[in-house]
Amino acid sequence: MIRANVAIAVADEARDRIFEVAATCRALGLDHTSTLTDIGVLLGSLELDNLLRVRAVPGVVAVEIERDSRIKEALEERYRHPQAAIKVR
Amino acid sequence: MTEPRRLISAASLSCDAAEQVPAGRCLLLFRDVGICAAVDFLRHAAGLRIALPTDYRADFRPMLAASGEGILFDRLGVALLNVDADQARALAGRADTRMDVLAPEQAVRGARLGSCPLRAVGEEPCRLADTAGATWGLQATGVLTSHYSGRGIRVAILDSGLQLAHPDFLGRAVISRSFVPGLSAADVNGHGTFCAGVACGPERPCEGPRYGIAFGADLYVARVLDDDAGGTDGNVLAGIDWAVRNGCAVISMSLGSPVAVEDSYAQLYEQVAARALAAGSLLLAPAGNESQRPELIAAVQQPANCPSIVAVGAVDQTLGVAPFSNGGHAGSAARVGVVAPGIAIHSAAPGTSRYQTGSGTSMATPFVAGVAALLAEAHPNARGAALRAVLQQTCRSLDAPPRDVGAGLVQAPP
Repeated sequence: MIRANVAIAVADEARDRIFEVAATCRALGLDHTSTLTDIGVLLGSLELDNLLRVRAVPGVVAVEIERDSRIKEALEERYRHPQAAIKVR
Repeated sequence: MTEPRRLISAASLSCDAAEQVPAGRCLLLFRDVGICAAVDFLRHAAGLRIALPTDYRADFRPMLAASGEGILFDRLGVALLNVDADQARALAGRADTRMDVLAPEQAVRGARLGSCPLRAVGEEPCRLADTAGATWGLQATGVLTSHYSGRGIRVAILDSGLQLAHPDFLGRAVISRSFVPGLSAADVNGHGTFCAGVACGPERPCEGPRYGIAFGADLYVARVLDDDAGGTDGNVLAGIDWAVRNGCAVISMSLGSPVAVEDSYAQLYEQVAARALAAGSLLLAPAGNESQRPELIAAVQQPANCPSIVAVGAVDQTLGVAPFSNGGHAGSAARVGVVAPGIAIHSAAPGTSRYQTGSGTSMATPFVAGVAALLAEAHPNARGAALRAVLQQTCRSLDAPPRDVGAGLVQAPP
């Protein structure tokens, strides 16, 4: 079984019962690590086979497999000097 | 009896300047004034006849053919007036911090049409440069002439942390928290210190030119990236949640991951950003650095591609689009929202060097954050979507496709 970190968005109308939604998700296999009440998001990990079932939980509007965020810089020297910048295609 | 509203901020317009308010068409920005009060004031202070856009089915321009007339764009908080010399003096003589002169109309219109004062038609573009006093980016965004510092505004930087011992931040109240397991908020990578420096660096740094914008803002540092400047959605979302809970009006996150042109935005991030806006927090994220213009224009990356997040592109010292700056594509809803300086940006760095120069939309994003903090101070009731509207309405138009520059180059309030 493949397990992935997930973020689960809870619907606006269900935010006042986000802990109930979390409990339902846990019963479906969510290893629940955080509840972000101010933005209505649950964090945790889930076996991918259970992803659709969690998505179908009343009050859940989105389930996203966690992605890495990474900065990609453009720190090359060519951008620091006009002459060098001309070399950019 | 209510004190009459006054026009033209004493803080933003010196007496000398007030006397120079020209007769003719001018634009006034209302900071925090109801429509009825604004109309009443303009009528009583200067005897102006004021109409609303809804009064006209077609073109409002004939209305302004005569002096003494004006139109109040109530949704924008802006009045377009045609005043004679006496009316101009009458307006200039009554100061109030809730109203402000933007400019004579011709100057604003010129910028809106895309004419760049740095570049006359047929001439080579001028190139801004760092001076001993300030970086080129501060010059380009009008920060140096702004009367605002972001005082009372909470700005969150979601990044690799901050070197709290940096001399330019010593004595500064900084609220920090790490959302990266096992790591403190202390920045080792340098990316976070750089971004915090641009957004909220000091008015007078220990060395070199001024590089920071909102030096009076309350700085909230959420570490969501590790020492290699990598992080996960969970870290980022936890950082957003923390910033929203702490009432940060501006949340700058110089991070993201590339997407294909055909990819749609992440519904979860959009939901979160919409909630942040509703709670009064404006989210900013870089458009991305994957383009190789002019041959390749890469799509706006995630999470900046969400409609409720302001995607920030980068411009160079001639105010041209940076070669690496991602942009919008036909058939995709993702667009650049605004642009800011993003090449050869000077800011704070951890370690003994103390400063470094960087390029990228990551560097442009905190520029927007700093300017947004100044605008938030200038417009106390503008938060969330309203602050976003002010940010975009006050941009300077550039001679480039909107898909690449959005509303244009962000501008600090005068």
